[in-house]
Amino acid sequence: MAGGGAPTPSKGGKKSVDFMVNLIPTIDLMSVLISFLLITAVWTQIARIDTDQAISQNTSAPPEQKEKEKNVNILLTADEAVMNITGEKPPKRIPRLPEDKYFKDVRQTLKELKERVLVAPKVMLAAEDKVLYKNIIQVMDICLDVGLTGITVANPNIVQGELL
Amino acid sequence: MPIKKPGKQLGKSIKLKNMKLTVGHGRASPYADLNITPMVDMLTMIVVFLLMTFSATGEILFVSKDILLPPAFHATDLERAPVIAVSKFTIGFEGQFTMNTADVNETAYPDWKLTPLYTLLDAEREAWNAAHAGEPFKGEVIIQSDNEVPFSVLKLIMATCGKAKYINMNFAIRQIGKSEAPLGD
Repeated sequence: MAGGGAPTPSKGGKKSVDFMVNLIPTIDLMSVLISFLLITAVWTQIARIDTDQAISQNTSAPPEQKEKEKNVNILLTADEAVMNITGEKPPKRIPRLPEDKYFKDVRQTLKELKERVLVAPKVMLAAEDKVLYKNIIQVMDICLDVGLTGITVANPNIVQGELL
Repeated sequence: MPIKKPGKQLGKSIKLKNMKLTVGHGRASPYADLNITPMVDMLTMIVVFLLMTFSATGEILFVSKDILLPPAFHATDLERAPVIAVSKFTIGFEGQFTMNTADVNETAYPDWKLTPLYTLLDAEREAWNAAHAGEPFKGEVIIQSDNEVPFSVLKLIMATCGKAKYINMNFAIRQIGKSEAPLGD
């Protein structure tokens, strides 16, 4: 292995300007570091999406409000995503298939809705019973990507009341 | 291809006299030169890669083999909070089996209150309040659900959490890169 630490004399008796760096401690340190980091490594990056919840059983009708907030309402069904801003009808309907077009259209619509509301709007997101968890997370991810950060998972009845 | 006599070996050309060990006069050394430069390079790269992927927060969530988390790009780091694990077959609270997922429906629980889960959430809240006297209850809970769990189940779990005063929902996801996430851009 790489040894030596002191300058060695050359043939003529003059001291050599070359200096050997002892690499053994470096390699030892690297080996220990690699072992430690491999043992403590977290291979799956798990994180969280923070939301509020507005789900309860007795909310078939939206609560009375003096002045309605302008929320972005999203209802996910098995076949489509329905969206609007509170009070605006008819809502925009985006078919679930083909998937690529669905994601593009959802993004585009959310961007437009966000731009139409001056104050940062809340998102009221709800889904029908058959909709899978992964589909809800996908829409939440798009919401966060376009800057809609205040996501509330709401009772489907409330959101349906705002949309239809 | 014709067979050729091998030429100079890698490492022989390096003029580091101190690394060469010779025995006698002009005889070949019994020791082979070991070029450690690529090894040090490789070790450095591995250390840098592992340091970049190092997570100081550690593993807050234990992911069961029955739970495949959905991927997402936008997310924040996990913080310690009670965990409700929802697979296609079972629902657990803090690693403890609570109920079967198949039993969760509006017919069985018309008031949207999953009693076994509510009891555990309530006990957890009481324990938190006892340990943090005078502090306001944050009501944070992590829902760690499988990809394929329908909203009908999640809805009832969320309603139960709300009844137990856990209103701050955190959905656990598997963080992926922006290029992999279906963001429609």
